[in-house]
Amino acid sequence: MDRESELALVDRLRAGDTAAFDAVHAAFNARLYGFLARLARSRDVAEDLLEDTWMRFVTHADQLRPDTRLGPWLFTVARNVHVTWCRARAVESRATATLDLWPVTVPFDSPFERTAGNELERRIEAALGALPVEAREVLLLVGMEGLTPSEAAAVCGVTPEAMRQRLKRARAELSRRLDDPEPKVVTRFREAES
Amino acid sequence: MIANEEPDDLLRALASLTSPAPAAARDARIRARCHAALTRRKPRSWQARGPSWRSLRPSWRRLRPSWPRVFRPAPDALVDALAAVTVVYGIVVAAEGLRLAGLF
Repeated sequence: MDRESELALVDRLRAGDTAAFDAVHAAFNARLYGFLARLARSRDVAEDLLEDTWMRFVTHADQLRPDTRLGPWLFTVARNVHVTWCRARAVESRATATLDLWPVTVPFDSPFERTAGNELERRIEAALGALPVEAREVLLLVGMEGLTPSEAAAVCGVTPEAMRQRLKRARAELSRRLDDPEPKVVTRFREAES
Repeated sequence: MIANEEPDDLLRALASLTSPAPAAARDARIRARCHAALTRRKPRSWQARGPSWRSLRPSWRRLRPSWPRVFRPAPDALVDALAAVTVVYGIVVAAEGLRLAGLF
């Protein structure tokens, strides 16, 4: 999608044009879903988060600035939706533990790891799924979605310099885990840094 | 080995991963919900027509009266006049308050 057509779409979206929404949906739906599924490591959760993302998008469509870049905007919303879900799940896990109910388990395999087309893809998916969320989101935004480090910094709410450092650490961590035959899953934010 | 290659190759390897689409039925439901939400919040005629309030800074837009759905949209001139009267009235009341307090 070139910049001209993106600006035209934003203009039409601000006016509530459903055809413009369909165009944006067609361009970003699969990308957002892949991003969310790899962040959440669950297709079902990703579908819920995807729905939240699109609903937030249409709810705030009339408040979009005329020069909005749709890609970074949508990935920012998707990331925020995922962060909210992580916090809710953490609260739920604590409440469940307090009440002495069943434990909340995290699936080890990512949904993509099981269906990866070849050995290399499977290894990358395994290594990616084993990374902490902060490293994973950086690699997904810059590596998979092709956002610039500055755009990814805006999505994650950090400075471009901090994003470059994060990206460097995430690359190194991914390389290390690609050599690790049995990567250990890190599920919580900031767990890898402690 | 990916791990021994340059970092750019690592990112390129990430970009080559395939991403499946979400379930079609769920996707259609999401789109229907979004269409409904977009249709509901199409700007009303007086919002789309008048440049006067839309050209103001966002902080001033809060002064714009919000009309219940049961009423017909008011013309821009009437909205502007009401807003002006409200602002002038506020200034007069504030000045009177200061006068009564002996500060003015």
